Amino acid sequence: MFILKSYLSLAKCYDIAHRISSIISPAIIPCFTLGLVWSLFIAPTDFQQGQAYRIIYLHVPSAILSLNLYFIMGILALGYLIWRIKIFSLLIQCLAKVGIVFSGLALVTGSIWGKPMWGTWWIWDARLTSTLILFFLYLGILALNRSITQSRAKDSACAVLTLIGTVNIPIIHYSVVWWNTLHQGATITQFWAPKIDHAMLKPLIYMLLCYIMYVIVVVSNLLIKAIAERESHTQWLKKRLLEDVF
Amino acid sequence: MYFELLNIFNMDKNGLYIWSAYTVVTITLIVFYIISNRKK
Repeated sequence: MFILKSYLSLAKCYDIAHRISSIISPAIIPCFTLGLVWSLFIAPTDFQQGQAYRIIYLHVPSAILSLNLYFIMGILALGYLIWRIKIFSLLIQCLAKVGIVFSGLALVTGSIWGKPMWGTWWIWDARLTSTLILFFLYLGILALNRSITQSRAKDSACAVLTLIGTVNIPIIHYSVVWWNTLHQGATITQFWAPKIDHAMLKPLIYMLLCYIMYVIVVVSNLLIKAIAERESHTQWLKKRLLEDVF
Repeated sequence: MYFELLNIFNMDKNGLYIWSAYTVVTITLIVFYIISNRKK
């Protein structure tokens, strides 16, 4: 346990985040450009939905990430409450910010897709409602984080709230199975028998990878800032900041 | 390839939905990246 704690020290994580961000950042724009061209112009048109189905390339990765980021936050929260490893609580804080963006994007793009396909922007469907709850959970975690000043109390409170919120994860995932919803059932999560043609699936997986890359970079950047804020009084950080300048 | 999506002046309603979704996502991701990368 001591070895794990020393390996996950804030100084080490600060350096790792710096390295990850500087390596992956330059690749984001070219990768996304290729993904956008592939999804907008190369992927074939759907015989039923026509061109409008292309929103899938934005909506599905956002939705998958918003759900999985919360799942990761749940594991980190459990880890923090058991071992009190500081980096876990900072990661929860960073992932919550990214989670707000992606759950918001999943809701907005889903709504834009829903209008031409379902004839409505919004419906109180089980999948949509549980995703909206997820969005508010992310907001709640961030609000709680901002409302407490004492760092240890703040970290514990956020970890507990995150852990409570994990109840929503299986509800979102299985909402299309448990209830009769307007939202379609699982399409690509059935890896062995996806219900989508390979010509459409490949750009979707590619876009998902681009999104994951983006999340890794953004979380690294946010983590660097969070560590710098938390450790601003320490000698090691002052030394690192001086090294960055020269 | 499906270049009819580029013809923004002669676009059907679906084209508008697609482009508005892509615009919203692109702008959000760019702004969020800039915010995350901003030095204090």
